[in-house]
Amino acid sequence: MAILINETTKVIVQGMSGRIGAFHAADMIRHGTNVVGGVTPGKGGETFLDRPLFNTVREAVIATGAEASLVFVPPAFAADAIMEAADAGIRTAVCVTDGIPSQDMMKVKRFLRRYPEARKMRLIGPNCAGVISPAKGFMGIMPPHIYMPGRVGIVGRSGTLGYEAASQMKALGIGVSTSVGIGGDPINGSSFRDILELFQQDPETDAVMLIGEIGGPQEAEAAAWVARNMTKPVVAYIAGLSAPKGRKMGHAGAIISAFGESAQEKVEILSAAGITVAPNPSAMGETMAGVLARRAAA
Amino acid sequence: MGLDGDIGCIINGAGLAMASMDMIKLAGGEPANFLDIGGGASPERVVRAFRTVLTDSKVSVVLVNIFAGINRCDWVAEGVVAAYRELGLKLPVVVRLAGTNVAEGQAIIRASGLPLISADTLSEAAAAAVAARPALAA
Repeated sequence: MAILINETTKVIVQGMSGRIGAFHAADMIRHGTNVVGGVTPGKGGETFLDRPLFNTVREAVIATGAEASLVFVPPAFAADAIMEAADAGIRTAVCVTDGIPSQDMMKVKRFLRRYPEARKMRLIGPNCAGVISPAKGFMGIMPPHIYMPGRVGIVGRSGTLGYEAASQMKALGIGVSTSVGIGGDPINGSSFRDILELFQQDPETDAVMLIGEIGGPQEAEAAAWVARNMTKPVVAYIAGLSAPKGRKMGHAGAIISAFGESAQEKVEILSAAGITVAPNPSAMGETMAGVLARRAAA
Repeated sequence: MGLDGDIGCIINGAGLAMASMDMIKLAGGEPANFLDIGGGASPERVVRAFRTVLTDSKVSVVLVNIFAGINRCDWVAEGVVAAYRELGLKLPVVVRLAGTNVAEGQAIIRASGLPLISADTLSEAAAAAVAARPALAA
């Protein structure tokens, strides 16, 4: 069933009637996503893209049974929107918004932790491209035509490099079960490790492409988890081999500030965990093809 | 963001920017800077990006590498064409477009009749940018 979203997942869009929200919500609907409504405070009762709008997430959940929410809300209000979704019983929220203050994200993380496991909301992002299970549905801003349906999972901090991987694999006839952008911020909802656990459990995923970059401890944590628990092959690429130390490379979280955070060090850590690392960003597809071919031959 | 080389980079997304720098180095070149146009960039924002990148006198080639999700290739292409004309560009410009509205974007580039260098993939784009550098005295 892929992970996080499939053709039956009931999705709402927070901020659906905004300029960006409207463009992508329409694209999601066009590609078969089960969008059941939108939330725009003050526009409750109106209809948008043939879907009902609600003032609050709680109203939307009660009326539609929504399980997942895509958050297209400006940075200053995004943390509130995420916490509102968690409180209303949403199971999975994807937040695309870039520029949410770290202080706000700390509040969100503490807020989400209060809930018992059974009703804890999973947050993907912020500052991410979203989640797509090709030909089933997507929540995010990715161009859906570049993904071929298939059995390889993608997880990455960078949205555009996720696109790059998907299109390289499609060119080689390799399809995707689900692609997840975990986002470029230093404090995010789900880590590489969280998503790898889901792919390991997913019967429709055979292998995973992990796209990391400089800065932060997430890739090393993922490597340690893979070495102990992952039976499916993992291929990785780490962006920023040419990045200088101590400079923020576009993403707020992409800064080498501690030992083990440079691309070279991460490549070594991942390789030591048995992960096959693509030597450059143009070789993500062919590296995955090679790993799949060796596995098929074994 | 300023670096040491001579290839000016206009890219969307931090990850693709870092990956493009990695590919440029692999192809034997050095980036001069990179500018992330962010999401939903209008043609005007692309023109401003060119102005900014070209304030660095080291730049001898511009590489535009866009894999559009929240962006639109047609808007980016309009911006590239407008920048080339408005700024009277003489230096080589390599354009790689992919993703949302890519066919419309490529059509705009072709129809412009400008000497823009098109590339389809990341590796082609990096190689083209390195190859397009004028043969300066090193």
